[in-house]
Amino acid sequence: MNFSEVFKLSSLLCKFSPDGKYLASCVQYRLVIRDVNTLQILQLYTCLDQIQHIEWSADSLFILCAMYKRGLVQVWSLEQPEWHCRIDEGSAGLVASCWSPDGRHILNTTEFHLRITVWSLCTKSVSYIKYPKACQQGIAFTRDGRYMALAERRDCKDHVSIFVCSDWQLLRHFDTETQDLAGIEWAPNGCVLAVWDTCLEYKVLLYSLDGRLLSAYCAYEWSLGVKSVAWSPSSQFLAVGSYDGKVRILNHVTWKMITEFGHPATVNNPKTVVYKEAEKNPQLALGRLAFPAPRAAASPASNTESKYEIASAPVSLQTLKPIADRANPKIGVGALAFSPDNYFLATRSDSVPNAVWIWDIQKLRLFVVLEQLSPVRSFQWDPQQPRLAICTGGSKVYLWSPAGCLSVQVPGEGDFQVLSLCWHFSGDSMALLSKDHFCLCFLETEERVGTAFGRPGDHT
Amino acid sequence: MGEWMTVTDPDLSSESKNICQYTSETKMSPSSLYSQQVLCSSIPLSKNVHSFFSAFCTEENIEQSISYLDQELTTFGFPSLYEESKGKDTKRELNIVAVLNCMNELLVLQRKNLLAQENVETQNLKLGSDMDHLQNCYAKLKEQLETSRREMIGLQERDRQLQCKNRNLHQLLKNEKDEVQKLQNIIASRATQYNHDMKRKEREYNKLKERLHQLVMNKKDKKIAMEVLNYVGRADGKRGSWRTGKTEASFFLRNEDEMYKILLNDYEYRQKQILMENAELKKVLQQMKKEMISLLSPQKQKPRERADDSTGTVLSDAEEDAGELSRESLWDLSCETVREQLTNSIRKQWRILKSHVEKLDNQVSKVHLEGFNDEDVISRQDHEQETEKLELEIQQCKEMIKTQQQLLQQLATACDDDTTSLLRDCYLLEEKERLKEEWSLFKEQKKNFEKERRSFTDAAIRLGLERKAFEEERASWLKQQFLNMTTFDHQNSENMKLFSAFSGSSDRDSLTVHSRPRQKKPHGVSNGSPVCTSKLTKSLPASPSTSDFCQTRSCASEHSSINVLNITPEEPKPNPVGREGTNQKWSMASRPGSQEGCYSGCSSTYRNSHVEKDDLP
Repeated sequence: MNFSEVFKLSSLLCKFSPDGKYLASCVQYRLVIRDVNTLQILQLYTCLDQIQHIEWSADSLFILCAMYKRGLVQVWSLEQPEWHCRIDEGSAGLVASCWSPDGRHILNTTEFHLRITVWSLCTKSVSYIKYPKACQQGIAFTRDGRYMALAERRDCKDHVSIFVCSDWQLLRHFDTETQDLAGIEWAPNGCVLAVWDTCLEYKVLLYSLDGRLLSAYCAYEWSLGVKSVAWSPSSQFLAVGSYDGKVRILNHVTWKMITEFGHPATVNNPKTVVYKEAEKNPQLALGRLAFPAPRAAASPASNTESKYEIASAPVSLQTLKPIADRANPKIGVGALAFSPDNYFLATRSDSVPNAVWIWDIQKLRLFVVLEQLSPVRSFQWDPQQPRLAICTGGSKVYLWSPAGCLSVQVPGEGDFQVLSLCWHFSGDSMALLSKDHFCLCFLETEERVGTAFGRPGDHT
Repeated sequence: MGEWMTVTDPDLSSESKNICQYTSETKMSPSSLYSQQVLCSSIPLSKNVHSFFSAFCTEENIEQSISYLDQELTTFGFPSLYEESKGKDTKRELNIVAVLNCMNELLVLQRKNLLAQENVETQNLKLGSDMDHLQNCYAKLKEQLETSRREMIGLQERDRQLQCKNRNLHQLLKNEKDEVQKLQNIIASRATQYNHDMKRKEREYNKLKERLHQLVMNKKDKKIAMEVLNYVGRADGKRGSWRTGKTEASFFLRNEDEMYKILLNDYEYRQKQILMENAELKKVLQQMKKEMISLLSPQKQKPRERADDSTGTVLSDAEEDAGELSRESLWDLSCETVREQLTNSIRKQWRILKSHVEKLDNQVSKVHLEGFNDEDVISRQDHEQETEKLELEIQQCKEMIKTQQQLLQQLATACDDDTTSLLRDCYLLEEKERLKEEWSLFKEQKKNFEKERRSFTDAAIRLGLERKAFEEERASWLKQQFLNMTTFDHQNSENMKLFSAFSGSSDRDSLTVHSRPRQKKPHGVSNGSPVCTSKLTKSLPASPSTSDFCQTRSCASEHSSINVLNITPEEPKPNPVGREGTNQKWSMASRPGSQEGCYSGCSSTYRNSHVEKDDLP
């Protein structure tokens, strides 16, 4: 495993281009485009203000930089550096900006969710979509980029509008049986739309592309409900994480629950492997480590290196006592992610903040639990293979694969606190983001690591 | 005594029985009781009698006292002390015999009574101790009863408390349930309230938004604009197609079409998948069915024989079905027609299979049960016995093996010792053989000896005869001489006397050692001739010499034994022969038993010599 040198960064704005050739990062009001392989600066764009949001167009030709404070969006072209485009929302303000899947339209949401403006880069025309709903996930595009589902609120009722992205025609418009719709998400095949209600009520609704209600699922009443939702890449399963600390898996045929995964604080099943991160004494010899982290061991800098130890059967995990009288209590399953090959589901229960639970979807049982020393900030699957990268806000990045797991110290002077990470689509490298810096971590170049990890076929 | 016995608590279980026994005993022997009473009364009475004995009978009132005693005794059933009076007027005489008898009887009675008293006293003691024991037991049991009663009360109290608690908890539970219900109602009402409020607020908010929208949009904000250097082409190369009023409908239709196409594609894809899955499942089902049929077909006969109609028909159905299915591959036809047949047949067969399996289970259980009941028990016992036997055998074999192993190990470790022992064994065998040889040699020698002895005896007889003849001759000669000179007559008679006396003493002195004179004695007596006696008198001093000879013989034997030590066992002959020569006289005279003993002694010495010889190498 190799690490690049550390580059400056602000606001955690660092993104790989969809084609994997470029890396965009922001430093204050400057946008830096680098080559992924050489890391040389290809372009440098200067925006009008501090950039708050960047997004690559789907064809990797354009990149938009949003400056919400000013209500401004600037678009840059990689092919024509002299080309520029500036969209000013004026007094209407700006709270969100995104590309349409075709990469030629930009959707800007005004303040107070008054409307969504669709700007076209091809023509002068502008269109507006009224009544967008202010919710955590109100816009969803199908994976093929054909359709956009938009949550709306009209007359105190939730609606969903489905637009055809090619010409922004309204295809379907239907009201949903939700109290207060919280999010929508397309199935990867683009035929089913999952709609879930606010946390006050457990309700998951499934709509067909043509607006028919396929099924409604409610696990329980009178308690806080859905916290997170994730589709499996095959569209076969819908995982619903809720505030009762369970993940329920729905199937795509009957839309009934197949199984539910609890997240108890103690892991009793001896078949479940529990990896516990432990502080490593730097004096220890390499050979004694259960999972030697070559780079980390080689780097002389830090003395807070850690390793994973396999804990034996009844393992009690560190739990967080939630504060009951505050909003958004730290309970329930807050993060869910299927591995790209559908075999694994990684979850994080917010009441057990240090642990990542990895479930075997084939056998529908708990497979591995990783307990870190500090709360898990985020985790992301390798887009190519079942390999999970985890960061906890410390100076280490953690990797898990069915073959095992390791903890890697990020080298460099000072403390590089990994707050976020994002994979390159090839799975060969990933960007590690700290508050002010970022660096790239190359996995494929190190042959040893490559062989040490299991390939996708290994775990079947 | 009997009274306090009855007083004792009859409820005490074991002890009471004993008491009953005791009481019954005492009741059974009223005589003893009676005697006891008599004794009890008699003891002070006798004392009294003793104390005023002097007062009771004085010299003056002998008559009265006697009559009084007579009266008393007669009342107690003793015979009268007086003799039967012949006449009324005659004075009755005191019958001493009767008095004595009475006294004796009284004394016997007294002794009996004393014995009985002793018995009763010991019994009394026993009963007393029993009583104590029983009382202790009673007290203990009472205590136990008390404690258990207290415990029971405590438990009852606890039970009551628990019940109370339970009731309270039930009440609490009910309250809580009510509370929950109430709270749920409150939540529901709050929720409706909240929703209502929310809606109101939202309406207000919407109004505001609308207003804001109007304000913002109507201002014709110049700022809201897009500056583009030049418009770019679409990613797919098409020209920007933005909807216009006229084409809207057609666009919409096209979009609808596309959407449905997508949906159709998805459904088709899913249908294909489902079909594939179905086909595979059907395959599995078919295979299963075939296997079931094949599995069940050998058992077709049995159920029919049992006249089990249902299974029979079902089986025939199944066969028919199987025939149909094999006839035409219905699998690829639409499900509707096949499904029912298939499921029905499978269900039937499954039922058959199930019943069959159940039957088998029943049989197995029956067999199991039967096994417990009869024949199989024996077989099992046999089995167990057999196994036990076998185990025993195995154990024995193991032990054998162990010992053998140990021996082998010993052999391996201490090979030298073993070999020596083995060699010794060999030696012993050799020696045995040698001894046998020697034994035979000895026997031969013995035979020889016997022969010689016989010849000697013959010779001795001859010699004796010769001597006899010689003596007769001498006697005749002496006669002649005697007749010639009669003056020596007196002296000769004296000699005779002397001889007889001496012969007796010699007889007494040594019967075994001096066998010769004893043997000779009858000879001499038979002879009865004075000449002979005179000769014997001459030989009188020779009697100790014979003893000497015997000593020399023993010496010689010792000497010979010493010699034997030195000579090789292969040549024992010369020495015994030599001894023969030296011992000629005594061997001839001594009893055969002693001689044999000597032989045995010799052999023993030989043996000894051999043993000693063993040590030499």
